[in-house]
Amino acid sequence: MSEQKNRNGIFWVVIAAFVLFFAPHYAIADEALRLYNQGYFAKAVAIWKKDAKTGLPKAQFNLSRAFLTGKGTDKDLDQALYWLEKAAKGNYPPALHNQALQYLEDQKISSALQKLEKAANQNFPASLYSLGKMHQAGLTGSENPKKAFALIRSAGELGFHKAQYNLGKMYRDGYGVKADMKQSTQWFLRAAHQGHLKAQIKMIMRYQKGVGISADPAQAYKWLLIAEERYRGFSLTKKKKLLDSLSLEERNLAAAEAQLFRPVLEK
Amino acid sequence: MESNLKITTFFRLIVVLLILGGPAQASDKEKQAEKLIHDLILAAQSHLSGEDTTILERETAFHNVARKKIDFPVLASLVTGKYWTEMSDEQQQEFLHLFSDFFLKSYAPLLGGYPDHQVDLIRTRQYGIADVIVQTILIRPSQRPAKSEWRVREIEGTLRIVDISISGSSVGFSHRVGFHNHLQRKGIEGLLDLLRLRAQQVPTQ
Repeated sequence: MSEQKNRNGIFWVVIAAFVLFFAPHYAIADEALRLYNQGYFAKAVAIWKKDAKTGLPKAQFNLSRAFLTGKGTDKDLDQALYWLEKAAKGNYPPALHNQALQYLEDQKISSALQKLEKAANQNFPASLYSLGKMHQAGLTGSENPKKAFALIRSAGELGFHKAQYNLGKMYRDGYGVKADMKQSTQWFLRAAHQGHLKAQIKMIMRYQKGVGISADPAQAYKWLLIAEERYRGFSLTKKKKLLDSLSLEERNLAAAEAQLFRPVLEK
Repeated sequence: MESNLKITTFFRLIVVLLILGGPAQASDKEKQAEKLIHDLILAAQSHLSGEDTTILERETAFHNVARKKIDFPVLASLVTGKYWTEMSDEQQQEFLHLFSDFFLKSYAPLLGGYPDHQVDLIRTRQYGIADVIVQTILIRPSQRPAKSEWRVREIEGTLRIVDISISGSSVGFSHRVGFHNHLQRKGIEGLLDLLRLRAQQVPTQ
């Protein structure tokens, strides 16, 4: 009985020591991110530099980004790669992901796959998506539509807008899943709300022609105005045709909604 | 003798008119170009200094403002050269989308706007017949000052940025060299793949 008590005591002492040792690091790491989000990059980098040396993968990753982008410190590609490697060795998903992309750029497919799988196994949305795209492109050996769909679906459900846009296309084409235009439109719409330009362009046609959703020319016009901010490819004829199908009140309402639109990123 | 004097006076008059008339026109354009850059610096401050949204959202909002002041089709045709006209409409649109995002992420920070960054206009000058160069300097903690030159051109009645020079090197021409090597080896889709991959990089967490 007393042996059991001793064991419990030791257990709690170990937990307390763990918390006391690591909690300040996490608090500092959050402080660095808070400073970064406020735009005080140099102050954030100073904290990341200290934490990176103690072996915190998140700090190592963020320091790598700072050296790569030149935010808070002068650009230094060697330092960026050095800290990215360190963070990836710590199995940190964003680092594994960015390292995989670097490998892809250098055509080192199997190394890229290995890193992406490691990150995807930790449910990292960007890696689930990229891995899905690799299965789709046959870069894993052979094209695997079901596997591609499953991975991209997981990423989409976790809020990754590129995955959501691709799910729209996969449901439309019946790629790796049974074709379903309602599902297709819903995924396009979800990505469009997050600011995905191509998804916004898709929503114009979906609302205009009532594909997978009830036809609503005013909504089509709204998405056209939103997308037009970043896309110059709309024909004037298309815009006029849409405008002609709307009353003045509908036009004004759609314009007001477009004006108020702000992309809402899914966390 | 008298006719020589008349000729000399005539030429002097022309020189005076050129001095008075010429720079006044250039100066208007210079002022407008300077205002364009100054307005962007102010827009950067107003969009990036808030704290109610994430920095990524604030930067995206500012980039959408800056995007309208930069002539990306001109820049795109500069960096891709002859390949620009070989691209399909869809490839051109995707290139514009990917390249403009990449360009804004890389160079919009030169306009400052973050709380401890300061940007000053140094000087503005006419460059050739069509362009005006606006020189700025960005001062940031723990980093060397960054001098940039914004090349502004009037296109279809609107002034827009058509290139940036950093430390004397044109960003457009630097990318042209890099992209050209890639285009020669991998073609248009290869370049688009490269930009797609770079767009998938995970930002600061």
